[in-house]
Formats: sequence, C-alpha cells, structure tokens
Amino acid sequence: MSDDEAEYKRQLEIQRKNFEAQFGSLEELGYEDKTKQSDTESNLSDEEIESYNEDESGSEEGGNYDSEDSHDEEDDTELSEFKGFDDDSRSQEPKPKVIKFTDPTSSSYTQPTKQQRKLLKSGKSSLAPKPIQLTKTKQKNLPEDSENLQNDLELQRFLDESHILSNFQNQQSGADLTLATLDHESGPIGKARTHTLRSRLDNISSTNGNLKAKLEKMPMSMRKGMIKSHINKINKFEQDARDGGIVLSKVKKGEFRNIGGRSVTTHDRIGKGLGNKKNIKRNKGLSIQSVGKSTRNGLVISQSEIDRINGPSKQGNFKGKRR
Amino acid sequence: MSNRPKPLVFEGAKNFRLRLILSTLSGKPIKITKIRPDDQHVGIRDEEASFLRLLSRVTNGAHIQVGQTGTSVIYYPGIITGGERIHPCATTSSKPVGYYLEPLLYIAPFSKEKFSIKLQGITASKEDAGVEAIRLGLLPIMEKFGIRDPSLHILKRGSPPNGGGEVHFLVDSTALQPLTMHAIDIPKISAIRGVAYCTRVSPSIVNRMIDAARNVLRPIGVEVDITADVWRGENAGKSPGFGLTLVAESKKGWNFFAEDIGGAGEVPEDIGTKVAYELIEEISKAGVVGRSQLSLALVYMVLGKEDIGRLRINKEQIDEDLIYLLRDIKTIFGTEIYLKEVDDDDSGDFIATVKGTNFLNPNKKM
Repeated sequence: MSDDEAEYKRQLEIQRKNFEAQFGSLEELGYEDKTKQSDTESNLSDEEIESYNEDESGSEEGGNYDSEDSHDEEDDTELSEFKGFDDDSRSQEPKPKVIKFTDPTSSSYTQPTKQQRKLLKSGKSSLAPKPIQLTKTKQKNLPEDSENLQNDLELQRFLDESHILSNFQNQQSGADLTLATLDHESGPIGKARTHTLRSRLDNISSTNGNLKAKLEKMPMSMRKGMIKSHINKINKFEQDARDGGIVLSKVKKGEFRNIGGRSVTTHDRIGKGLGNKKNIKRNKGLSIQSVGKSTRNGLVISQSEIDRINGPSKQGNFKGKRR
Repeated sequence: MSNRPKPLVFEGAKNFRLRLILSTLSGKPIKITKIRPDDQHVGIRDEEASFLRLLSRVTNGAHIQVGQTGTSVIYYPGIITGGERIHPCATTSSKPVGYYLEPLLYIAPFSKEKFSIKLQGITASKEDAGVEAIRLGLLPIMEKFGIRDPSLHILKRGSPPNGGGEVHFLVDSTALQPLTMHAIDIPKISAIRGVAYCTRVSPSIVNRMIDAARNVLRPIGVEVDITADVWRGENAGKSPGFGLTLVAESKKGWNFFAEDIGGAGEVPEDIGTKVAYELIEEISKAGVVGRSQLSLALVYMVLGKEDIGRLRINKEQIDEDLIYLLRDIKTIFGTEIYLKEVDDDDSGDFIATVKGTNFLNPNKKM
C-alpha cells in the first residue's frame, strides 16, 4: 500500500464518518457497508475458524448434560468463543446495555411539607423559608397580654361612658356618704348606673337589633323647644368660632355638632340629630316622551301638553301679528 | 407616519426578542432585515410572530410591519400598558413560555397598569429558560434592582411536546426606574435549593433526580434543599416529563441557577447529576450574576439613573452573546459599558461600569 493510497483511504474514512454522523450508518439506511465487510473478511484468520469449530464441538458436548447445567456450560463455551474475535467484530454483536442504578434513599415518594408546598405555590422568587419565629413568639399568650387586653377593654368602656359619668359626677347624694366605703369597682351608682346600663344594652343590641334608637317619650312641644334651644347653642358656638377665626371640623349632614356639655338626658330626648331628610327620587316610570299623568281618576292631560303636541298655533304667529 | 423618526437598522435573526424589547424601552423604532434569508424556512419563525403579537398585546400604539417574505420587520414601539392579558403561545413551534416570558421581565416593571399576564403553552424545554429558572433565577435580579414582589405562578405544567401548561406572571407595583447597582463583591453561597418536578410519570422519578443531585452536591457542605413537585391529573399537561432546577442562593439575594429537563431516553439520575455539575460550573464562571442573568442585569443598569453603576463580572462571561448584547445596547441607547480589571485580587475579574440613560417610566407619576 503506497502512502498516497493510504492517505486516500484515510480521507475516505473521514468522509464516511462525517456522513454517518449526519445521516446514521449505512446499514441502518438499508445499504451494505462494504468497508465493514472487507474488514471482517481480512480479519477472519485461521484462529477464528478454529474457534468456530470449537463452538460446534462445545454445543455437541453440552447436549449431553441436563438442562440447567448445560446452560452454564454453554455460556462458558460462548465466552471462550468470544475470545477468538477481535474488538471490531465484538462490537457488532447486539448486546443489552446494562445500566445500574443505586437505590434511592427513600424508595417511595414523600410529599413535600406544607411549608414547602406553600413556598412552591407562592410564586415568589425564593424558596427560602421566611424567618417566622419572631412573629410566632409574639403570638404566644402571655399573662401580661391578657391583663393588657382586659385593661384595654375597660378603658374603652370608660371612654364610651365618660360623658355619662361626667354628667352625674357632681350630683352628690346622701347615699354617697354612706356608700363611701362601698366597693366602687362594681361600677357607677344611682342615675349614672341606670344610664350606663342602658347605654351598654343599646351598644350590644345595636349589633343586630333595630338600628334606630328610640328617644325618650315626652311631650312634642317640649322636645321641639329642646331642639330649638340646642340648635341655638350650636349656632352660637359656630358663630363664636367664626369670629375667633377657628375652623371647625365638618359635621355629618343632619347631625348636631358636638359642642360638649350636653347632658345625658338631652341626648336621650333629642337624639343625635334631626336626621337627614333625603330627597329620595320617586320612581316615576320610564323617562320617555309621554303624554298625560296617570292618576286614580284616569289619565289627566294638561293644556301645556296639548299645546306641545299641536305645535305653535298658526294664527298666533309672531310674523302674522307684525303684519 | 412621515414625522416618525427613521428606524435603526439591524441585520439577522440574532437577539430578535431583545432588540424589540430595547426598542420598546427606548421608544426608538427599529428595522430588522435579513432574517434567515438563506434558510429552508425563510423569514421569521412562528414563535417570533407570536412574540410580536404578544408585544402588541402588552403595549398600546405599537406598529409592526412584517415584509412580504418575512425577512424584514419594522417595529414602531408603543407605550407599555400591561394590564391583565392572556397570551396563547404559538402551538406550531416548540418554544416554551420561557421564550416569551424572559423578554417580558425587561418591560414588565415599567408598564402603566400592573402587569399580569397568563401564558399558555409548553412550560419547559431544553434550550430556553424554564419556568422555575425564571422564577428562582431571574426574578431575584429584578428584586435587586428595586422591583417589588414580582411573582410567577405555575397554574398548569405542560411538558414538551404537547404542552398544555399555563403560567401567570405578575408584577404588582410599577417602578419609575431601576436602582443604580453597585455590586463589586462576589456573593457567597449560603444554600442550594431547587425544585424537581414531574408530570404524568411515576413520582419516584423526582426522588431519583434529587438523590443524584444530592450525591454531587454533598461535598460542598452547604444546606441542600430540593423540593419534590409532583403534578397529577388535569393540571399536569398533556405530555409526560420531568426536570430539575437548582438554585444557589446567597444571603445578599443574588442567585445562580442551572436547569435541565428529561429528554427522550434520558434517565433521572443523569439529569440530577448533570444539573448539579452545571450549577457548580455556573458558580465557577459567574461574577455577581450568572451568565444567563447578565443581560437582564446589564439592561437594567443601562436604564438606571444618570449615575455610574458597577457590576463585577467574570472573565468567562465575556463571550459572543455578551458582545452582541453590548452592540445592540450601544446602537439603541448609545451607551457603552466600560470594563475595568479588578485590582484588589488576581482573579482576573472585571468591573463593568455603565452610566445610566436616565430612563423614566413614562406612565408613572413622579
């Protein structure tokens, strides 16, 4: 083999490899691979032919054994037979590819924890669990917390009822002296007690009771007078503020301004305000061009409507009059 | 039409999405010519057409002209409106939702309304960014640049080839402009987390992936926490599939990620091992941000206020893609990035310094 020829063969081989890389091997495409044929032909030596013979003899021998044993024997002979081939021919033999997997540490699938699932679902940019220990300790109910809560509630109640208490603070009665030693923790006494109890009941019932608190029963004219005087007071208060250049807060429509010093009884008798008399638009039917008004006496058509339909009368024309 | 500025001209199909995004951000019209003129399938592909449709969906007033042969596209950008949209990705192409989602990250914070878009299609692929990779790898970059709480929910998974997945990308709060970045220290990895998912296959597959990845990552000695995410039933899409995404987290909020999905004939063990090694390689080749996060970070830096932003990058990160990106940025924004070698140590890293263009979200009140 000259150098040129060898070079040519080498180049051909490269070309073949490139071709096979792109399109797959020739054999797969259904053609004969001549290069391989020539290879096996040239490599087939006497040794191999001998091994073929051996193989035949081996199988004959195997025939004498029992089924299980013969199988092993056959395997052995096959192995010895393979030694006769060189690497190329062995690679042609289709052989199962053995892949071994190490057993996973946890064979069964374990569901992610609730926290992990939450993080997965959250769509946030990190899977790192948020440090939530700080908030957790806060949530623990300490004895101080419940005490604080209790105090808060009491303060709330005190603020709510402060106007009642302030109203009755100065009213001393003879009973006060005798009751000086009494436990005042239980709450206010006398009229203040009546009023506080009432306001508490009202508060509770306001959740789902009738919303409108009923005013105390009294003669109408007296109530009117009370309202009038109260409005006067408010007007005076507002006027004073205006004169003094004070800007007052806005008051809800229909409600009295809180000017302080209002007694509990006034509150019960005239309420929070006059109430806003809304001008609710009544439903008058469709707002389309229609004629007449439907009353219980039948359809009433006014003169203006008749004129509107008839149009301007030709006699009463301005132009005609000018002429 | 005549008073419109003349479009900037680009050639080739490379960086198609990014060029359109940069044009949208800058408000400058562009013209892309010579899109695959010699290809067997001449002109823009289905996914590119679908992407153009998506752009017109999230913007208002955009004007797109595609040439008759499809080899040229003229794009006059509109304003980014955002809002609630649904985009069915092209079913004729094999591109996953990540292909469409990735460019949206650039424009989403600068929209008029809150940006809430549902994308339907394939949720994973070998080439493009997977949903988890975007969520765990790219959203943290946005957060670093001052965009609050972007989120990406996977409503349905859809493995290739048939897909059937749906994801919801949401940016609630719009930003005026990205923060100026000064990141000159390589972050230290504090934990490695990840998600191994599978759809319509045996749940043991996720365990096999997790085990294989753990075996590789064990010697590193940081906390490794990989969540198994098994999808069943309706929401698992139309095809079986599995995949793994690993994220190396640092305490400062920078993340590096690697991902892969199971292809035909691949076994979960190989995927687990491969992704774990890829993650380690990514960390070794990363500066402050990974290679796949670099373009997002650089574009945000270019958009920043007129101040010098600094970002440490690795020598390995300077490759063909980066050069293409920088060229496009220069053409559209007219700004250049200056690379200066680090003199503190002999790592050979660079500090990329860039002066922001003072981009302001036109839809946001000052």
